[in-house]
Amino acid sequence: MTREITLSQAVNEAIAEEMRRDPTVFLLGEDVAEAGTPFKVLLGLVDEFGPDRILDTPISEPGFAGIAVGAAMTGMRPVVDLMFGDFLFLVMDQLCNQAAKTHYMSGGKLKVPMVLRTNLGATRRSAAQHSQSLHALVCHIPGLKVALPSSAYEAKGLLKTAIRDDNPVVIFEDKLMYQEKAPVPEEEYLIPFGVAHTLRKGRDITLVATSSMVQVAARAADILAGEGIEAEVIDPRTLVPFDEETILASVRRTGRAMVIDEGHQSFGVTAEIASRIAEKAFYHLDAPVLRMGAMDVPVPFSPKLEDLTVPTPEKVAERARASVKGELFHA
Amino acid sequence: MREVIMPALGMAQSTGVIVSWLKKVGEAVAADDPLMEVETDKTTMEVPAGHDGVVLEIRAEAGAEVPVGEVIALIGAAGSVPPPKPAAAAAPAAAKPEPAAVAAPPPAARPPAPAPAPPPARPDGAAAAAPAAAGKVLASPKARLLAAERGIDLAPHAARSHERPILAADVEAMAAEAAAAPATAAVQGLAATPRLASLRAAAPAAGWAEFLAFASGEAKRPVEGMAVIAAFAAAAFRAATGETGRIVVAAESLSDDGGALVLADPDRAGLASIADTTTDAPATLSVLDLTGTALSGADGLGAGTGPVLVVAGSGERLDLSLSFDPSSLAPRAAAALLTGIARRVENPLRHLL
Repeated sequence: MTREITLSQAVNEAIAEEMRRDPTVFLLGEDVAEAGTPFKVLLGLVDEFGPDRILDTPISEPGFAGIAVGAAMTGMRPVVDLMFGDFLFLVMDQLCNQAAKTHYMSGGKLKVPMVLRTNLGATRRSAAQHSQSLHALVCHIPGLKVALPSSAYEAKGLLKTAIRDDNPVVIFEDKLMYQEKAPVPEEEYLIPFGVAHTLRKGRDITLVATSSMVQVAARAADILAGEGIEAEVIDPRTLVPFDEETILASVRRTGRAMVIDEGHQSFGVTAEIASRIAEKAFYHLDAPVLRMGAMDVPVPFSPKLEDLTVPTPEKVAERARASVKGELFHA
Repeated sequence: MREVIMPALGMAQSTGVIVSWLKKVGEAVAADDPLMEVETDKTTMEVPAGHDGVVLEIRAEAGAEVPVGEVIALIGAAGSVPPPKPAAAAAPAAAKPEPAAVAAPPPAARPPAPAPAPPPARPDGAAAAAPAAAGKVLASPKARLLAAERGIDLAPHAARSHERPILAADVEAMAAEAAAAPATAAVQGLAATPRLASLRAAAPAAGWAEFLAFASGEAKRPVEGMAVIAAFAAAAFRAATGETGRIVVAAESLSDDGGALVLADPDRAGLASIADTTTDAPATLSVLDLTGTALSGADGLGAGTGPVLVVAGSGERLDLSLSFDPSSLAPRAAAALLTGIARRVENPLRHLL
């Protein structure tokens, strides 16, 4: 049976199911218990599992992230709630120097099966310190897995897989999608890491998009379809591990590609994916590989300005159209 | 020796008209000396020489409209000899509708007097290549791949590619055009050029028929001898030449029930799926299968311009002959190729190993 639930409910269900299944799973973070987080994602969990497994922590991200690393090393499966993705900067040592490297440096004797749940996404009028999409930072560090759900369905399946993974996993939810509904089966399901999802087939251009940008790409594909241009839309689902083959196979067919991601455009996710396409599907390309990320500026507080900094379906369609028509010529 | 180029005096300027030269060939100039007067759409100004020395050569006469960046004069030490003039410099200015340069219209002839335009130097207009072109073709990687596969030379389109790069769709159009032209239609079937040399070999065929029967049994469908020979030929070609890229073999049987196949890398396919590797690409080498006929040899047939292997005989012995152009395949490599094929026919299990 499939019903429609919000991304928020999907996350809540995933955590509850895993906590019922495995007594070593517990959750910690700021305002997670009674408040259920500012986004109300975790409402009700403390009632079922009690304050011993749903832990409200002081406002000290490095502290509770470090507790989670230690707990994971000693046999627990902590799920850390990091209220805003922007706070990643506070937990970088715990995450990148400790969690990511412990398995390697202990010669495989220690594992760190922790999940760090956090979010990304602008246009919530939250200003420059609460609107960033910083997933590229953790993708850069070997030893961390990185998942980017693009819907309620994806969020539940990927989070359950993350909790069962023996490696540290960082999962980014788009904070603007918490109230968006999607069909989600009532039966249990998992979404494996490293397997991209092709939402839509097309012969003219491949749009690779992550997280919230999957919807942007899908809407751009709708616009283009009205003009007779068939765009293929691919959601990699996880950036680490990364399903290169699905994307390369698509580009070999379409001969054109555009990568859309909400992180800042420079030195980020779009650059990495575009360079792999250029390197490994070069002789199949009929146009330069295009990228669209967030503008390289602090996210503005002014709504009018903020909206200008992120990719939109219209902007994606415009660039994709130019590519298909052979109008991109920089030689 | 230093080159003097038509300078860009305005932001959006693509050509300039030389109103007059202020120095003559042989005359000494200092870098700051005015060398010429140039008119753009907005203004006329004196342009300094830019280099100290002697004017060795003036390549564009007064009145000529010259693309920005094109060499119009040479300055060097007195007595040094300018290099021979590149042909393009004598041609009309870059793909512009107006005649220009050494055709020397009168200095006052602007705005354009359209009357007697000199004919383009080459009928396809390639001489009009802009300075940036220099014969370089701008094409997408996919377009280049397609062109290579279809044997299409992009070089004649160099000039046009700087207006707009050649894309895959353009190559498809060129291919369609080429196919439509009757003179070039004979892609398959008849030999394009005579092969100059040939080698012959014979191989005991006792194991051959048995092997085909075995292969057909394994594949649960008939495996054609011609396709297997094509795979042998590709494998032996790879071994003989060190080729690591794609090898396309065109195979044709002249027997009553025979057909024709063009196979890409048949040596890399499993026995059962050799015949599934069909392609449209031009053949690296071709195989002519005369088994099942009364023929014992053939000359001048075979697809493409690569080596041609003719297979004749039946039952106990297969006669193999290889004709090839020694200027593209060294006799030693050809010998290794034919030997490799003969040994595979004699003992087909070699191929599987």
